[in-house]
Amino acid sequence: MTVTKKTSIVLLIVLIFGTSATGCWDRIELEDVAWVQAMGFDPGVDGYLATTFQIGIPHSLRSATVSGGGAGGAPEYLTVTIHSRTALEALDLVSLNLGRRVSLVHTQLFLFGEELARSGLRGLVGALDRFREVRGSALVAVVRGRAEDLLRINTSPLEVSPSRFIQTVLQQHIYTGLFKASSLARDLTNLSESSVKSPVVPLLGIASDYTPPEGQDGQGGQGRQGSQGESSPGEQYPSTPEVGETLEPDKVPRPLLPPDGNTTFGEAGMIPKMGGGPVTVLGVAVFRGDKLAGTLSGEETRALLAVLEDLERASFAVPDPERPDDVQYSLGFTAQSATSKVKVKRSGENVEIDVKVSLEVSYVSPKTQTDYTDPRLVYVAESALASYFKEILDRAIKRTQEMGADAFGFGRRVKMTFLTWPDFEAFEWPNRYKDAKITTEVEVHVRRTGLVLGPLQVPRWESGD
Amino acid sequence: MRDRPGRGVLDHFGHGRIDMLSVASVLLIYTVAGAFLAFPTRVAKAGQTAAWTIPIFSGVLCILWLAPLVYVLGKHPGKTVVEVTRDLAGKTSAFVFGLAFFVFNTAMIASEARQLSEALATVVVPLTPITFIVFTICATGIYVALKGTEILGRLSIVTAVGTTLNVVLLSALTFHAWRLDEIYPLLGPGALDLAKVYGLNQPMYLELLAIGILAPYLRKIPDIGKSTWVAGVLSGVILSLVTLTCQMMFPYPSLTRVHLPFLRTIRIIYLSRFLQRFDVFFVVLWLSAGTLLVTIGAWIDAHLISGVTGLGSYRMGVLISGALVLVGALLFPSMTEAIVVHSQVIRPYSLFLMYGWPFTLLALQLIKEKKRRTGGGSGPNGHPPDPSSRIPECGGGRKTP
Repeated sequence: MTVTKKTSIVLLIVLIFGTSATGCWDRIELEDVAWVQAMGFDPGVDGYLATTFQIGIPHSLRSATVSGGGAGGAPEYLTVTIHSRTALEALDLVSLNLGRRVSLVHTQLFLFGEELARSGLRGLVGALDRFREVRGSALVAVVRGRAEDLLRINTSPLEVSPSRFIQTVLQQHIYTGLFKASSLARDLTNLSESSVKSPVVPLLGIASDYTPPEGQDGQGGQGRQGSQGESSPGEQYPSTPEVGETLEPDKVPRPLLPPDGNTTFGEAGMIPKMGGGPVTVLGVAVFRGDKLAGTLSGEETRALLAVLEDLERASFAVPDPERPDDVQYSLGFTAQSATSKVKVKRSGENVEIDVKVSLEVSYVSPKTQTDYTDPRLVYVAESALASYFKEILDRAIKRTQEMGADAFGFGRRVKMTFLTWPDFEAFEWPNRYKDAKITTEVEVHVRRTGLVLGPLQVPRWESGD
Repeated sequence: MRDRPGRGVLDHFGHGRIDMLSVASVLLIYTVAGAFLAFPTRVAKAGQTAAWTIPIFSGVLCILWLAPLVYVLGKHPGKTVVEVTRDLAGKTSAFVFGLAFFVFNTAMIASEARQLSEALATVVVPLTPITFIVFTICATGIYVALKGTEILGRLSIVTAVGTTLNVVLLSALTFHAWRLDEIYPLLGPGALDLAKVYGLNQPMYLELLAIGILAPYLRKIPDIGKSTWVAGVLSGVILSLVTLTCQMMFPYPSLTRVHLPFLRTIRIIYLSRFLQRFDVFFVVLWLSAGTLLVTIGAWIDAHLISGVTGLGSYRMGVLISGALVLVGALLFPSMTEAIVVHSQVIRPYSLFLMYGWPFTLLALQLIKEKKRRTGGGSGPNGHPPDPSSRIPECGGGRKTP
């Protein structure tokens, strides 16, 4: 057979296959699939599992993206809750309700209700980890209250769906350090069976100032329904009074303030705010094994992240060392990075851990008249922030010791003091963490002072000096 | 069965010779293809936090262990290990060792073909019947094997380069997420247990015994040792890198429950919203390596069938082997059974091949040489010594009648 003949035959075969095999025989049409954006899990009735699906409605989402609203006011997503024995059984049941095959290929968020998290997640996350459609990189979070409630309310006027909002809000950990974003595989599934570090998951909550729209009773519905985003400004704040009239203080609602006066000491849902979206993320949920053991506040989470060297940016408001009791006077710092050194000494069953955290900060908003940029006073500002941060760090460590959950991952260092895994396993570090003697040291370096040096000067005529 | 002193597989099958690069690539692909399957899980179970050291230390030991085989093969150019065994130890020994190698090789390929098919079914084509996937892989493997040794060598070079780059690239992409403390405690199960693992886990390199079949195809005799050494070291490094990467991403004990850890590792990589499913790109490459594994297995089996039974048809041997692999792969009820049989039956019981065969041949070769020097001795099975064995050997493999 000549080369020309061979080529002709090959081309013929390619052409035949090219025209006859234009699609895969087990194809899945996009129109036949319901794409789940987020899933929430709560305890259901009679010991069942309540699985909430948030499913995007593609044509409405597209209209909302193009024109800024749903197509003719149609909802951009629908939320449905199924009570079943397992999450995967719920997938089958929800497809019967929706008339489409439900796919988790694009699911980027898994929420766990607080009550379910306290009872243990190992079985559930194990099942998710096993399922081929689930991404290990999907985000996970624990919800104060029920995950179902959070997925049912309209979360933000800026986003077309709650799941999209939660994804964007979970990215804010980079800029604030007030919580830690966690992924399903690495931060929850793997660590739930770890002996060296406890899982830490962001904490979401419904804002304290949120009141569900009438008729929804906190359960929400579907699409853009209810919440503060739709109320006119006048409903929350009185309009500017006419000349000659006085503004009545009682008409201005007071946001909920934390008892100790520091806004970042709160947890999810406790941000002192009025208006905006009804969902907030602040602080982290700490697990012992697979069970929720407790929570850390936003500021304590920063201490956690500093030790884990995950603190990328954070701003601190520290009382002025000269007027520590006056909230009006405070020093503002922005930390760009944090490094830590953890040293572990083990003698027999006793473990001593030395933690040294080093913060590099910029001096940004001095609400004080003292010029702390003066090289002779910089150390005062540095030690003020150092003692403030040390106090938070000590408190965070103490709280995790009370929980018996090594969220700081000190176990990783303890593990290094052993030569063999069986020896380390027999040591049972999680049970000894609460008895470990942990000392901390915080070092702060003010590197920059922003675009100016000293504070704004008070003119002589105003001060009267 | 007719004794054919001085005649090798090249005379039966009519295949041409290949260079060292091709042989090393064939050995490399044959050894590392399983790395994308349950290999890291298997070594994590044995070596715990020190799992990543197993491929390196076992690899070094294995190369030392194969040194006698390389020496003996160098003394018998143009012959496979089965033919050498027949020359040195007689037909019965050649039959026993050849059959054992054939059984272990076929079972190993069948198990890995099933694992590969199940991995594909689990991750990529869940609606496709497993029989269809296994059949397609085996059919492709047989088709390539029928193309002959030269094609096998070239394909192996291309796939080996792709596989090596793939492992390095993917490991590099996960570097930012590595946790170096996952290799602590350094001794894993303990020094003694680890030493046992290094020694007893040598059958993880059972694949390198394939040099015994590949040797006659090499153009130069010294390349037998070089290609074994190169393939052994490279496969040790690649397998170790894969295990280390998986260990950093799935710390012990999580790694012991993930049966496709490298694939899972890649699914965790998140570079941007447009590059989230790296597995889609690399499954094709892994599938190529896996299919080539079946091809090489069938190619080896064809030679073993020929060596054991005297069947002189390469094509028939490949078809028989392919059919056995297909049936064997489908005999496993599930992927779990395939993994368990592979790691707890095939590998451990192949120990006698790794430990027994090379040293037996070396001892017999040394005895034969000693007798030759002293002028006495006899040929195999008490027959008079083969006059052709006294002809000085030179490169090229074919002996003058």
